[in-house]
Amino acid sequence: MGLRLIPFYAVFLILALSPPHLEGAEPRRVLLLHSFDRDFAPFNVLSGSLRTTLVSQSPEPVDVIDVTLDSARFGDTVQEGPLIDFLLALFSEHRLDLVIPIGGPATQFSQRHRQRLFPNTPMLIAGTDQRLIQRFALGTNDAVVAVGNQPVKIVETILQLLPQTAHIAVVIGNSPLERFWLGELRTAFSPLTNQVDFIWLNDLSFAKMLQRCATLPPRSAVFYALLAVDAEGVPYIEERVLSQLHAVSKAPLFGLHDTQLGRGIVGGPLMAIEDISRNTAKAAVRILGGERPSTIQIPTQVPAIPRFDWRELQRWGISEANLPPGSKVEFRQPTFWELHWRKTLAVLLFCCLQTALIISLLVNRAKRRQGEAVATLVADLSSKFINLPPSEVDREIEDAQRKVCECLGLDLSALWQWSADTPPYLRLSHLYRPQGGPPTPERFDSRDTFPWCLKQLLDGKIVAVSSMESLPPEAARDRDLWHYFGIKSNLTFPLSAGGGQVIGALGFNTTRVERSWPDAIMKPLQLVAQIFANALARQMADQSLRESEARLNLAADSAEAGLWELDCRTQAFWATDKARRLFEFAPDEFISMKRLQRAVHPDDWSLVQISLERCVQAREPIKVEYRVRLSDGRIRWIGSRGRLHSTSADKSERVLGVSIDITEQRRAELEAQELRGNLTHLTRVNSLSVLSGSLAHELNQPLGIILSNAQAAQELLLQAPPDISEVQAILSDIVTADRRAGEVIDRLRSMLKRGHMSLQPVPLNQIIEEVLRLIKADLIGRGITVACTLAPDLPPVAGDRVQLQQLVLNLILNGADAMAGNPPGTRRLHLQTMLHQDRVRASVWDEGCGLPQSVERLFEPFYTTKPHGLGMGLTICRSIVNAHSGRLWAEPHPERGAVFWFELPIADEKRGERL
Amino acid sequence: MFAKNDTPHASHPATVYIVDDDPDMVKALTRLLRSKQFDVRGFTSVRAFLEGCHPVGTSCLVLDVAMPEIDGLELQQRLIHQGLLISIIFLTGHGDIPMSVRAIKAGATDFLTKPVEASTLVQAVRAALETAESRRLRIVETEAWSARLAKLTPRELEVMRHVVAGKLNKQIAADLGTGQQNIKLHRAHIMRKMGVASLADLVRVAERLSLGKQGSVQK
Repeated sequence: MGLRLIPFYAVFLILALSPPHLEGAEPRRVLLLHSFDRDFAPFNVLSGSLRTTLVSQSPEPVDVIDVTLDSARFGDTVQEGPLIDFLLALFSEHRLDLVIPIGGPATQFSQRHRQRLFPNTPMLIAGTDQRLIQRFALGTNDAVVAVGNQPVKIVETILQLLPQTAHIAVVIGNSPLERFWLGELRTAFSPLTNQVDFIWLNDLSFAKMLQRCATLPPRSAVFYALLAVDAEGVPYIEERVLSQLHAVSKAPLFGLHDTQLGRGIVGGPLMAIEDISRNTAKAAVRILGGERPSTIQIPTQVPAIPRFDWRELQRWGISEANLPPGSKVEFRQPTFWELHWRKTLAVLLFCCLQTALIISLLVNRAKRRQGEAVATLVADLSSKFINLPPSEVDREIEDAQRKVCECLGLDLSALWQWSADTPPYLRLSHLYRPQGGPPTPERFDSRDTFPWCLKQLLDGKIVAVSSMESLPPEAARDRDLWHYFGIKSNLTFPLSAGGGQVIGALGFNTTRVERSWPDAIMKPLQLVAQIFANALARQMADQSLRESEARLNLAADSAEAGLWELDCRTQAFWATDKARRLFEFAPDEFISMKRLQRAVHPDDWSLVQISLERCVQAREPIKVEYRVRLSDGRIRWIGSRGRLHSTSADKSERVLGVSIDITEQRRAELEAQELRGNLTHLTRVNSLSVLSGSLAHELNQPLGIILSNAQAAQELLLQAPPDISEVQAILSDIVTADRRAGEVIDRLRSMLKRGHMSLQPVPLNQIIEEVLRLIKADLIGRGITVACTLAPDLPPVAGDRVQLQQLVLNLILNGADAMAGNPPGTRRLHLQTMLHQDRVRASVWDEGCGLPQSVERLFEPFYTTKPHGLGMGLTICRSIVNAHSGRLWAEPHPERGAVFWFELPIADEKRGERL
Repeated sequence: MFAKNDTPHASHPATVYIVDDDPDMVKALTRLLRSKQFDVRGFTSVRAFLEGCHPVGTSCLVLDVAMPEIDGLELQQRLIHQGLLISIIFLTGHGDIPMSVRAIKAGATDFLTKPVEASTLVQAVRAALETAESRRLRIVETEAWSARLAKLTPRELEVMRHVVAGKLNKQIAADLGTGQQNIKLHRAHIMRKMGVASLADLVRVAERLSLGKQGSVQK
């Protein structure tokens, strides 16, 4: 009971403490009569609005007094008596200008006790449903702003929004007002009970109501009508009720007032409490302004345009399409964007920047990775191709093409090479095209295929086409062709090894998308092109090398020649199979100098060794013939020729050479030599016979001396006394003469002997003098005079004494024969010897009939201009000179006759060749 | 026949000259011939011989054919030209038939081959000297006759020509336009001047003097 009086005291205090009014200006007093407490929703809104409006809009100051009826809560049991007394007391002294009962109970109270309480005070009924207003009791001092609740509409809305709804739980309390409304609702909802099952929660405590709501079956909805006091008599504040309901309910929540929107109800055609308040306030102001209340006709406030809470719609999955047309959806979740757009924008911007940075870093990294991958790939290729055997070049090129394309995401790589034909054809030698495409020709005429591209390449330029559209008009044909093959971007490099002639082209293409060709791509690819070009050039060089090697081998084989090579550094030999067979080396045997020595005949080894040394040290060409002992004991003669060869590349010096089996040749030579020897002997004998006169003279001279001396001695000894000393002198002369005869015989013997030629140092002048002595008589007999100009200190020549004598003899006889037709006194023979450079030269000039037209014919065997000549004299001379490694030739003398020259090498003590 | 002191004319001693370019040969031959009592002088070259000798009287030359400078045969001609009554014996180391024939034809006395037997050589030398002597004598005789001929008058010379031609006096008289008696007279003078006893001798003399139609005496 005391509690109930608190509001009384509160009001009393407020009045008591309110500032004293100014004299003469009495404020307007308005009494707000609340059904429930001041803050009871939704009436609190109304009262609040009234208050504010009245204070602000009233021209005169307004004093608003709030009084709560409380009895609404308790129902009829509460006595209204004290309240009436209170009110009377309150306004007995003070004039009340307006009374506004808010809510059904307050209105009912006011209407009931109007005559007692406010007989003359205007009354404005506010916030009261028209059903609760007794209209017939209204007078001229009454104004009404009635509320026309239409709860059915809410249910209809539920069904419209959620057609599947089968149950609707109605939350309603147990106060007299609520009991009233329960009845109203039951009536209002009865038509719909066949559609929906209504669950009335009025007899439950709020806790139980909550429980019930929490365990509602599916396809339910909760209709919050009013909960002022629950079945257990506990009063509740709407806000709390709604929030709790909202928290536990498994079904969407619906209410009647727009004040509830945003607090948990879904929405619908709600009572616009603000509007009602405003209207009510306006009416109040008008009444305070003096208007007669009954003239203020405010239509009954009806539910407004449906409004919905977007959040609840979202929560209960209610599609906005189900909403009644013209509905307003509120509380759209301020999208995060709407709430924090600045921050979000900033964050997003930052994120964007970050992302952009990350992306660019990633892209860069990807690019760099790709670049690194490309660089690694190129480095790999470079090292792989350096020592690649030519036979693997093609395979590796194709593999490399694949790798490059995969690494860079390209679709096609083609390598073209020029062929050597005219007109030059381009041959597609290596193609990587995993996706296939139109068939490519094996080769095509370069003049009408890719003309523009090829022109660029031949000028040494790189062709980089990112987009076909960007090609110049003169590249129309190229574009067509690329288009035919589905190529969108093309990068082609000219291939030239070492910057020389262009030998082909390497192209990289994309068929899926267009792409650009930045430097970072072009540089490594250009390197790849160079690698390919070098490899191909090496392959071509190797090919031509193989071909020439094959040719060489073929030639060598056909000539039965063995090729060999000596590495000066390692002193080891490389030899062809043929060469190996010549020396009886095994096919894979390592041939060292020692091995060679074992094969060569020991007598000939020093010769071979010396010639090799001379070749290496003095660059003298090797020209040597020597014997090799075969395993079966046979002797094989080998003739070797060689030359020093140093390549500037590796500065190594090698001797390259060829060896031939000359055994047969040698045999033939020996035979020929034998025959020649025979012939020489015969001609020698023949010439000796020709010289018989001279020879006879040579012998007869000493013989004659001996004879004459002896016979003189005989005669002297007959004298008495004999001249003994004279006889002694005679005898010694005889001995001398005998020796002289012996020499001649020896010489004769040696001339007649058929010996092997041995080279000794022989003084040529001596030979000439000997021969002249031999034939002096003959020459004189023929009337030939000889003039000699022999160089003094002439170094000896390497020769065979007998043969050289033969040579000089034949030449002199030849000269003598040439002068046979000369008149006497004009038969002169001139002999000369001299040193010419490093050879000994001799000339025999006869003033005879001169040389025939073809001088060389003279030296042919059996060629003679003499009627009874053999024709062998000069031939033999030549063979002798050749055997001495000399030269013999003839020329006409400018004055008269002919000169025969011969040249012989000087005897070298170091050399002692035995042939 | 001829020995060192045995010469037909003491004022003309016989000398044997030896020329050979082999000094040993010269020595040997000189020894040999001297041992045979010949007067020998040796030379080793033709030049030396020509400069060093003035052969007076009878002499012969033993000459090696095969010598440089001057041909043996040439020398022969030269010597004759110089009026040296010298016989040449050719000595050769080798028997060359054509050469020997040439030599003989040119007037060599003999042609010997080396080695030469002493007896052969001596014989040849003797023969050569004899030949030389007889030639000398012949020349002397011819000179005497030439001198006699020179004493003939031109008419006598002409008559002589006809006489040695075998013509009769009568013919000669007719040819020359004179009488036979003159001819006979000329003939007697000729016979006396020329110192011959018979026509045959006169003819011989005429022949010797090579009396041709021109009447010049050829020497």
